[in-house]
Amino acid sequence: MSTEPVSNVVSILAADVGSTLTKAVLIDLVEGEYRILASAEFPSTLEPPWSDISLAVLQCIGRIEAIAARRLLDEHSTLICPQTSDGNGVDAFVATTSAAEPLRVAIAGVMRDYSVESARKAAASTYTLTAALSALDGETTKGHRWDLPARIEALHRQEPHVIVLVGGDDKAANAPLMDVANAVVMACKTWPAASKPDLIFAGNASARSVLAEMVGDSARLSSVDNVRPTVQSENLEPLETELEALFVERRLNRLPGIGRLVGWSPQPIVATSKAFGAGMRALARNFESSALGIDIGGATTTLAISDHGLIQRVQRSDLGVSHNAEHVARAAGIANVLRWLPVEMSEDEAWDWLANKSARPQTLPVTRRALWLEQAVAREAVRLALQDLRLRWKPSGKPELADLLPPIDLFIGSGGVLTHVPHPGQAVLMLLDALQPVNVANLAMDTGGLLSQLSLIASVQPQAAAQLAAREGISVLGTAICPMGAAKPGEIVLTYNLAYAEGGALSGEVKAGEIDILPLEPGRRARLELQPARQIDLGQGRGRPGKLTVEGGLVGLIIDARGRPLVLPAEPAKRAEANQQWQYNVGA
Amino acid sequence: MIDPKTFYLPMAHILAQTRIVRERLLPRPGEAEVSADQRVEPVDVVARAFVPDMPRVYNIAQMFKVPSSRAHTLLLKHAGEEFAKDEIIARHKRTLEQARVIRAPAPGRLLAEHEGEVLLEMMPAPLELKAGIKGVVANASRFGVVIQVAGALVQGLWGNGKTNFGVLKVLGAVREQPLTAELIDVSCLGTIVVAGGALQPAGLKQAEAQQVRGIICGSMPATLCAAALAAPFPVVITEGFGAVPMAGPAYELCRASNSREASLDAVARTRWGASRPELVVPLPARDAAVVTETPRAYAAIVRNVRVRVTAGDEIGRTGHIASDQVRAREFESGIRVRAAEVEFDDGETGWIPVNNLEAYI
Repeated sequence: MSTEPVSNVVSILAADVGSTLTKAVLIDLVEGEYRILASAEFPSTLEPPWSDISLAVLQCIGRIEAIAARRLLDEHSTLICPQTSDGNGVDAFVATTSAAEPLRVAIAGVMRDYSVESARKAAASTYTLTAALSALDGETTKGHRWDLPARIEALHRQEPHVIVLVGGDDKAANAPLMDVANAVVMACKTWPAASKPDLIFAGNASARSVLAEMVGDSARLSSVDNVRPTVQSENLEPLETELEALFVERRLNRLPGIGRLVGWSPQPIVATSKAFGAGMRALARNFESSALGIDIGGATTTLAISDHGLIQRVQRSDLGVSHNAEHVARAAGIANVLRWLPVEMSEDEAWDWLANKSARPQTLPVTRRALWLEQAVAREAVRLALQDLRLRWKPSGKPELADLLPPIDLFIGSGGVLTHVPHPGQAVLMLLDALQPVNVANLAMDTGGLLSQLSLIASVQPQAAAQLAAREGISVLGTAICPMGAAKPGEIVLTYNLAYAEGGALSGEVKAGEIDILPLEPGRRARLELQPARQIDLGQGRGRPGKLTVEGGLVGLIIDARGRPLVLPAEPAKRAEANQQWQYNVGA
Repeated sequence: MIDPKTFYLPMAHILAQTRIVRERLLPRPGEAEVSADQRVEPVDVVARAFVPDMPRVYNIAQMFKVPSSRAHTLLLKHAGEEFAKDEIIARHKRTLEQARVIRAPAPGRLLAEHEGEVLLEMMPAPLELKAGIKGVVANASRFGVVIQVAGALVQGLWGNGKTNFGVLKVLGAVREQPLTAELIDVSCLGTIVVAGGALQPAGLKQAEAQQVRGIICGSMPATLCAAALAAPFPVVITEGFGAVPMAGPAYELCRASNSREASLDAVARTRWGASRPELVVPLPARDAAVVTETPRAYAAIVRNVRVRVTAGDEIGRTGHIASDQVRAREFESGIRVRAAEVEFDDGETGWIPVNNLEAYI
């Protein structure tokens, strides 16, 4: 059945300029269906000697021209748009970027665990680095007054682009807030005009006019709704929107070379993390319950959860596998990174590799040791970002499990470290280790790198987005069965019977501490019957059997019987041996 | 303009003779102290500006041990009033005790007072911008100066953010020689020391003790970064972290420049920064006249382009591109990526991912 496009846009060029890699895809109608005709990647050109993000996009387009045998650029290296009658050029260009420097945000407020924490969560929704946190209650716990000099000095030292001032619920007295405001205003008054930060007030609304008077012309002040209107409730969106707008105005729109890309498209260039969240929302329409997207970049890690239609997004601009590899190890602890390796490695060797990777972020891991270390960093980046997600996301109608995510139906990994693995089993292992899903979860990869582009593609050609999401963008890795409950190593955790739709069956048992892969190729279906041991829970209650239909994937049906939470052997040699065994089991 | 159909490599410069043009910028507009075509030495002040000092907050109540409500009465200066260096801004006299005073640390203005605390805005302090390199001023303005010099240039990978100049002193006889404490003696005083191998922790300490003016090495352990950042002189590594010897051409250029005056700018690279740390050895004036070329910042991957490897087991090896073809190749880790064929200086050949190569001339 052929599909007629709803708008006059037929061919689309979509680009994503990352901090390390720039990607572009050419989408067009093939026999009535939207398909990816060609794609290309090139190291990003934000940094010297290039200092122009559009150069990498041009390089990608040059490669796409060669693959698709179609001219996309004119003699002035300008995109031919719309498509010409002889088939050259494209009808639309859309782009996202995560290459811009994050906003440095300082947060000052009254109570660390309430308004300040809410502001921190709001800041984590876009590309920010929280440079300083100041809270009145944090300074007065030992009976001392708030240390005003220290606060002002700290604010100056951190050189924030934005100061967020919060405090007081909408019925609270303003005196404590004014104490904090006084320090912030004093700091603003002494800032050189050229580097004066923006000031956003997201506290008790009744203090706005007094604050505006205090601030005068010492800072550019904007006020938004209180992030903590009552002690029990949060209202993060107004502050998130304001920070996002500032990021776009002050950082994204000032990227060197962005002018060329803006000139190619009536659509604005969008921050990748925002587009990633929107892509998850679009994708999750196909799922009734929950899906978690994980985008691991060179400098940034983004998690976006779609839970019954509601999207929550967490952005960590300090966690990534190249630019920020060293920072991940410092934040997580080098031992936590090393615990995922299938070989023993000294901390010194790891620090050297991490420092080299951070100094030359575009280099690639050509040795197995380097690849394993990069993948270990990815696990820890996700683990740290997950801690932030758990703070802001309250699962709907699901039991909360200590230190674990509740059951989630679908996990989708994005970003080069996951999608460019030599073997898809490595991506499975990274997702299982970092996220530790429970019960039954489907694992997938954003192989086409389209997840962050879907919403933009949908804005110019909705059918293209829908068809690509369904067919080309996402590669299914497999269904993972992750039982919970205590079992000694070697004890049988469950027995299974896998009956293939086209005939034939496979049965067996899985022991504690093992990962088993049962063959089930992409496109195949099978009926799975599970009988857990008495103390083991598959989501139906301890010892209760389960029956489900499973679909195949690049890896197959995965049974992860390592237990939850995952406990690795304490002894380094045994731990490395266990990791090696699991790598072997998933075929990596 | 780069060609969208050609592969390019970023370029590090290892040049015996080139024209080096460097900006020296003031953090805020000021005044140039030199004019175009004027010759400058590294120590010459080329521009000046006034830079505001950090504001100071004094807790008067706490310093005098009085209630904050009373602190206001002890102030001799009030909001908006200016003060000179050492001028008394608050005074407290107790019965039978000598009066205690708080003096201004520098000229400034009392900006605000609040519950016993005062905010002092300090007058901008003069900042002198030095040339850092020996050369000729090409352009001077209130923003800074552009200095041009003909000389040898060795660009590095990592620097500790400091700059200095001095006579170059190459230590050790081989390129792999680590910079150990034993190599640094009293003869290194006031010199920029060069070692081809890795900087050792004891070597860094000894360099401080012997008051060297700078260090340039092939590599150093990443765990030494904090100590190197705290060193009072510039530290530059050229290849990477770990134990990687300096690329042969860079080492040979340093050896050829031994005992000559050099400038070491260990600029700390950031993700958005434009500069690389570098060693500049000015040429004698008679040789400088013939050098007019400014090196390019990148190079196309074509046969005979000089390259060095920037990651993996081959890190630090140098050679040249053996073929114009860039092909997808699989590596030990299993990744399959675009790679170029390199003929190394020892005659061996191998395929290296394009991402793990840097051109140099």
